[in-house]
Amino acid sequence: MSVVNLIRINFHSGIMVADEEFWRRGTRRTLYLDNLQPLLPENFCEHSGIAAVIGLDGDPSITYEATLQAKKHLEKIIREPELSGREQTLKTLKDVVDITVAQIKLSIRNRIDNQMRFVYGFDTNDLNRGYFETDGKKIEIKQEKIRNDALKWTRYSKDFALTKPLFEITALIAGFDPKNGFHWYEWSGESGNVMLGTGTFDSIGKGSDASSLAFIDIFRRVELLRRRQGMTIEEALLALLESLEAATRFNHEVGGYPHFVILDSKGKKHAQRLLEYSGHGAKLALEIVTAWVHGYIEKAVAVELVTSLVIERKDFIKVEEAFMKSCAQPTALEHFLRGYKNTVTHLSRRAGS
Amino acid sequence: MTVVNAIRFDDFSGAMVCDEQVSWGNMQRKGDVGDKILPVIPPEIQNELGLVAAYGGSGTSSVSEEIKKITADLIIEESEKRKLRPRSNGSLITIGVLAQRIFQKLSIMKREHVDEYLYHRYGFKGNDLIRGFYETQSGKIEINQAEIIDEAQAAMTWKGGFSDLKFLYVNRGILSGFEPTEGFRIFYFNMMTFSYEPVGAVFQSIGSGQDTSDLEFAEFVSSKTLEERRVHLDPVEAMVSIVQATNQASKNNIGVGGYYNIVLFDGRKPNKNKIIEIADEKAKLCSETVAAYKAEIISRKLAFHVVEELLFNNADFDKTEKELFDKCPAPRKLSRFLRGYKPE
Repeated sequence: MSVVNLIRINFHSGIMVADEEFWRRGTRRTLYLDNLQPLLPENFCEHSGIAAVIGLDGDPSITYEATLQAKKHLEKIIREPELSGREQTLKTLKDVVDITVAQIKLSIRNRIDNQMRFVYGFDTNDLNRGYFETDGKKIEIKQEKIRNDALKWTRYSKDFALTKPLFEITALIAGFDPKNGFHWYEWSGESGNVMLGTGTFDSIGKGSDASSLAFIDIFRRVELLRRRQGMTIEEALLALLESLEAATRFNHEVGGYPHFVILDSKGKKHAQRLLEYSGHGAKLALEIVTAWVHGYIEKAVAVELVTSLVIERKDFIKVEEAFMKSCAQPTALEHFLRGYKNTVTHLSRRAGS
Repeated sequence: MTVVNAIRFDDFSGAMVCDEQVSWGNMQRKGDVGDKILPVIPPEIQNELGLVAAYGGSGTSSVSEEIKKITADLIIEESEKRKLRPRSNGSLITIGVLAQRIFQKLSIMKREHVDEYLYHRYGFKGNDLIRGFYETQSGKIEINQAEIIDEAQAAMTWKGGFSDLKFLYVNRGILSGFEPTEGFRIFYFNMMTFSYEPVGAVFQSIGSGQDTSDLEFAEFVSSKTLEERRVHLDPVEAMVSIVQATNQASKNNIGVGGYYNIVLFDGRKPNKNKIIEIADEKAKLCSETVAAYKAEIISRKLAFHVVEELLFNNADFDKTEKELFDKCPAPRKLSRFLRGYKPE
């Protein structure tokens, strides 16, 4: 569990961000998630004008497999649409979403079938028809206790530990196509439904709790027409980082370095239409916004510094130096970023004096 | 979700360290606002008798608070009794007897909570279940229903991990303290196994951070000879170990984070100084120093010096932090490491 946030800039573009924290076996904190994945091969995106990125939240043992399967299947369809039972190749983001979600569902179903076969020797199809075949013999699934127990595999239940991680997956699939511009879909493993994303932002994962509050606070101050018109990429980046900062501060299972994907259908080449940004610079961008949110630097400075990192790709060390210099109380800022408290009040007073 | 660690240096001294992270809302929200180790001896009794003790709990905050209150009440109760016997001398209560009394009170508290639950659900209490009936205004009612008996018994025994009362049973605690006749001692309480025991090893860890803390403690203690373990551990080295054990939990375990509360016991000191708490920026700097040492950014010599200054010599935070950075061969690397950057 982690957080995947998305913000719509305008009709053509949007940005996604994800953290990298996961609690292995629900107890050990690790920073290894790779939750934002472009779904389509670059050469196809180059010519089709489509791009799609999936942001998945859930147990990586299943999300990794599901993403891999979806990417492989999409590639196959692009290469040989007829062999995949399609009349034509992919035309819209919705086409990509439908195939991706079908593959995720297939991955989940395979895991469930594996478990059922391991335990009882039959799978979900057998359970549906009421019998299975072994050594040429038909065996009816008649025993009520066994049938009732087997049914647990097919339904989501918080109390059924074997399938809980398989169903507790959510996804944001965002992108653009030549007809529809930037848009996104949300999918939940609990209900299985695909929903068209609406509004200006979305957030999934454990961190969506605090992230959503931050997003709401940002957009409640923006009137309808301005929300429709959209915002600048600089504003969007700041809002996205503000939402991530809130999740990092208040929610469990959110942490590590951020990973950004910027989608802009106006770019001439695919490399300009889909940009990824991660690493030390992404961590610094989060520190910059955190410093602004907590009053250590001015908003205009935060915008300038984040833009210089994520959009202009300026050198991380130079931006870090500029960041420290931009604060009137660099010692207090340093302490704050290391996790000191207010103690911070007295430390910051001293630093400012 | 928490970590509380305790270590014994020798017959007179030892330490406890905990984090301060608290979780809410089905483990979704976190906050660094907890107060997990509480000194339980009133200052006037400490000053008079040189008795010091602290209790640290993990599990449900409210239950831990209740245990801390029970302990403080017990001491006051003993003290009041003593006032009635003005010629009595010697110890008010040993840490061992205090642990025993806490456990007795814990058992009563547990039964009261179970009774609240049973009465709320079925209209009878634990003793009624044992005798097989309860009484109402309309007369005696026998408890015959097999399913109800099973469920009520599960509430009393936590058979099958009875989830409605998980909040009550998943509590563990550590009582550490010094008292002149028996010296420094550590006791461990576990409501899941309905037990308490003196800690035979040199250390004890509880909470969600126990598994990774134990790894550090095991490595440290295993490197010491029997003589060292029995007689004397170097306090600075032991503090580096207990802080590292807490750092490991903070880094790797859920629900562990924020500042540490470091509690030091030393029976050799004057009564009023036999227990000291360091829960401020010095505790934070101490945890940073140990983390930097373990990441090989600073030397062992520098780390041990900084820890000794902060914890045992009441050094000034600013001066010590400056010394740490001045003597570190790569101060920028140190800064980034402490801010959460990955190695470059």
